[in-house]
Amino acid sequence: MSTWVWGVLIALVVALISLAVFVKVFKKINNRDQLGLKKNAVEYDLTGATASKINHDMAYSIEEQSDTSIRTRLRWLGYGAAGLFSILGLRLWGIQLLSGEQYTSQAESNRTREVSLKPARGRILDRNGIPLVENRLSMAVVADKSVVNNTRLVRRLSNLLGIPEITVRHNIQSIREGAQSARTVMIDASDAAVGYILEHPSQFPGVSIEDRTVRMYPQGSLACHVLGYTGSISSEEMKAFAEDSNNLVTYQAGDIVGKSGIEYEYEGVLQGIRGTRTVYVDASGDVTGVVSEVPAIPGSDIRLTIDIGIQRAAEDAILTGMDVARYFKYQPTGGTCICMNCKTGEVLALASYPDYDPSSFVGGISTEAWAQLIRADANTPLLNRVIDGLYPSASTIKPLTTSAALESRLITTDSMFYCPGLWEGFGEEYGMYCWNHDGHQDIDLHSGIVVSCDCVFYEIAKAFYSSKNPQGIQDMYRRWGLGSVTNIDLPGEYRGRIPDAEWKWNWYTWARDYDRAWQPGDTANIAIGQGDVLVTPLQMCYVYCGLANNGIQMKPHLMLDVLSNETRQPVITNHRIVQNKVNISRDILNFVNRALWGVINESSSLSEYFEDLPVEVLGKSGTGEAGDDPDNTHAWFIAAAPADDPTYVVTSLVEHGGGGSQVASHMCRQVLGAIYGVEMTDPISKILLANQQAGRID
Amino acid sequence: MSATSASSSIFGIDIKGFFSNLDRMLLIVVTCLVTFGLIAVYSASLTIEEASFSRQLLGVALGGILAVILASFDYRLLEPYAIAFFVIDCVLILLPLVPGLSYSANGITGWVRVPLVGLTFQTSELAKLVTIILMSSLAARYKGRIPSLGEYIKLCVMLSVPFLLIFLQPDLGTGLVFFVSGAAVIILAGPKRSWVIVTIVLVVILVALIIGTDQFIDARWGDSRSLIKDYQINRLMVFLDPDSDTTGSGYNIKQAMIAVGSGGFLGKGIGNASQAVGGFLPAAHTDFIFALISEEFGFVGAMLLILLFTWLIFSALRIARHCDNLFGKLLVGGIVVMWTFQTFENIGMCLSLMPITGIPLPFISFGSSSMIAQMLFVGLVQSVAVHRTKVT
Repeated sequence: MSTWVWGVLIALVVALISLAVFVKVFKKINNRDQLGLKKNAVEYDLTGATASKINHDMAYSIEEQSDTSIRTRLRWLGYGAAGLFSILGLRLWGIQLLSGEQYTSQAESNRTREVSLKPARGRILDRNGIPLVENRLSMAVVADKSVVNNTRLVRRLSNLLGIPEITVRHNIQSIREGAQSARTVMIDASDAAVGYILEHPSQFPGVSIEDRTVRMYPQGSLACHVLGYTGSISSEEMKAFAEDSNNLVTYQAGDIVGKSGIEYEYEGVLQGIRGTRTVYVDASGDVTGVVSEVPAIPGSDIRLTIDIGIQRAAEDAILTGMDVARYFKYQPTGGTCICMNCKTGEVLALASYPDYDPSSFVGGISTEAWAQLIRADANTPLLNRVIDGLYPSASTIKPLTTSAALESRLITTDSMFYCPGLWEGFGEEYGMYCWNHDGHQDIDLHSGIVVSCDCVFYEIAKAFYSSKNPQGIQDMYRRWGLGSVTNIDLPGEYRGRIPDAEWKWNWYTWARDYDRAWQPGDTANIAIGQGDVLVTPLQMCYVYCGLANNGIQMKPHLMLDVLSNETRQPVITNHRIVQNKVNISRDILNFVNRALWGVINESSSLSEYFEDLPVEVLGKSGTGEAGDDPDNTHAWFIAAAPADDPTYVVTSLVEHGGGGSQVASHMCRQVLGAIYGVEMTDPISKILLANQQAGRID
Repeated sequence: MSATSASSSIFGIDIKGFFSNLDRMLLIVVTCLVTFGLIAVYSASLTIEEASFSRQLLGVALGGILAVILASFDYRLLEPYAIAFFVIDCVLILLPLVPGLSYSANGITGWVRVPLVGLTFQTSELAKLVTIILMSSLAARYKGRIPSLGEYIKLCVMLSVPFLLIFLQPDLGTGLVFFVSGAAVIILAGPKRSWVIVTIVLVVILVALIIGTDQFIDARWGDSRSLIKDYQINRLMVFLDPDSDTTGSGYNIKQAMIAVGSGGFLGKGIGNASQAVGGFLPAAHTDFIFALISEEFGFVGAMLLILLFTWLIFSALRIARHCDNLFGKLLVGGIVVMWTFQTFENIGMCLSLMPITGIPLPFISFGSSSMIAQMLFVGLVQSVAVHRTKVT
């Protein structure tokens, strides 16, 4: 028996009940009829204005009287209806004729939409035009933020996209792309998933598919610290760009902008100019036609000074350097390698390790990937150690100390020194060791640089300390650009630190006055690049560029030129700029460079690395103390080639990597090998062999 | 005198005499209104899938036939059967609540799916007609003057039964139509003015009390248990301030206003109404069809429609005036108030004068239940016009 039969039965019961109610209320109505009417007639006769009329006209029946009154009421009903309809007419007149224009424009804005056409971001190329960063199309699944409250929808998305429910939820809740914009659930969704969502819109309310142009890195993580990464614009960045007069682009929430590196530095060039398309839409937002279109102007391609081959060699060199350091039981935590053309300031390679994969930032970095990057034992892969790593320069600074002493005439090129191993020039209680505790005995200035004898520089420090210009060493350092930024076209470069008496006093505010005051030992320490001296690898590279280029320091730069979208010809060229000219006698420079030549060519172990190159090489090692443990040191080596008129300066560093000549020297060799086309065959075994044959030199 | 000199007859009905006795004014104005409505529904059907022009045409045809049958039937025969109408009324209103029969459309469970046939029908539309007949039949017994407060209260109780039952569905709009047209019949039946005033005051107090209690229940136990649902209150609030929420409840009013306003003097023409065609105007073929007409035909068309409704009201009132039977007068009076109320509420809603309720525009809105019911009303009014003894 179907339900409707029950329904009819229920309806019948209801009918019976209502019948009972009706009979109860109206059972007497017919009996009372006559009585009531008569009673009423009497009342009626005695009331109101009609009383006299009734007297006059007794012929009127009760029915006729009520007929007149109902006529009156019907007439009032007519007036009422006419009044109400007049109100409607007036209102219609007001809306359609008086405010018509206002509503017409509202209707127009209802049915037209401005769609912003995002310009393709400019590519980033190496100096030979090989792409380092390109664009590709990607289908992204985006969701309204309210979707997170729909548990079933979240589960459905999780199943369809094959990512955990908690990830879907987290991605929707994340505000990394701006609080107001739609949330990216997944970038690069599969065609099947995209198709399913588009075909079943009712199952996915608030979920949509967006075509996105995203960054692609054909060379993987190569030069990641140079390139930087991109992300959705933050409100702070939006404000900052609006105030930046160099950047004429107007931004909207959800725009992809450079967050670091070249992507950030040349944001205004890479971004391009947004276009607009005015379209007709219906209520569901579907486009029904195009009204007009202003096309977007894509961002311009940038050519970098980076040479992809040299860059790769530099990155490989760091890995080899760290392997060697590990072989010698050090625990390297990272490294840098820079190659600059000292005659132009062009940076041919700029590598920092650990590195990261910039493509992990595409579409917003996942929580897991971010956790990997910021883990304590990951050693800050996002940090560009070349410009933001601060290290004691160690012995690599000795050419500058030498220059300062020679220029001040505190010593001459013929001065002789004595190295006992433990130097007590400031008194027995202030004894300082040379790296060679056995001592170098009698030694001249040239050999002092070549074997990097610390006692020679302690003597120089002592001479400065008691001279008229006790801060002469610091002055010389600063003249070469230490303690200032190099103005490379990368954001966030550090200045480093060249300590002096004033700085020390202000820095150690918590210490006793005696400890805050500048001590002779401080001068001795900075003379060998230790103590409180802090430099970035790029600063040292810049110093050696100057040494190799007759004191002329070219401004380091990464951008070669900007290419026109149409002609592919350079429209903006980054001119070579002489940033600093160190006014120092040619004799001093020649002496120093001769010593730097000796560092490599007078040492059997080092010359062995470099002998197969077609050119002679200058260089200097350095072993920076990273703490009180004598084995915890940063390994430096800086090389320049060709020796007679250097063009290339290579600066290598292995963080916590041990001794400079032992670990870092061959890194320079590897990069120079890439430049001169002489690969180092089986570098590690060769290095180890060479290290076994010769004693350690620093 | 009703003509009895038959020249041709079908089933004993005098065809020629019947048509010559029909009220021509009403016939013409209803024909105009129905035609206007068909044009509007046709233009809506161009973009709105639900708005089936053929179904509307079927409704008009079916309603027309039923109207002719009803017009030929002597309405005076209905007068003694108040008790039967009361039962039918209650059953009609409660039918949609019966499991197996109920059928829900647009969130309102006012529909009945007729078993075996599978047709759906909104019984409350028919119940409107029955309620007006019931109230007229009861009120006519007092011969134009309600003798005592007790009798007046009885009438009010009788009206409140279908009115309260319709709230179970729940359908506030239709409930108001019941209430207003039934109350009009009672007032036409001749109560003392003071009773009516006191009743109005009491109703206002009662409504205030109900809303107050409802807010309390809402706060204490949540919306699901309250008498008036949140969306109903929201609609009312939005009516008071349409700009308050343009994406939620206020969206409908806002879009209707834009549709009407952008129509201008001559309108955008059939099929060019971007508000309706683009889907911005909700329910453009049903509740907001007046906005569609205003957008397509402009001030000229919309004003014409309002004038047609005015003409309808006055031709019906003319029939009531010439009628010599109190039952007939009350019937037509109730129907006139129903038309006036539905028209004013529906158009007023499109013009942001009245809150949003789901009341269709008579003869115009898409929907065969409403169309058939409206045609039956016309048939009944025609019956009053045809069956009279007094010649004017």
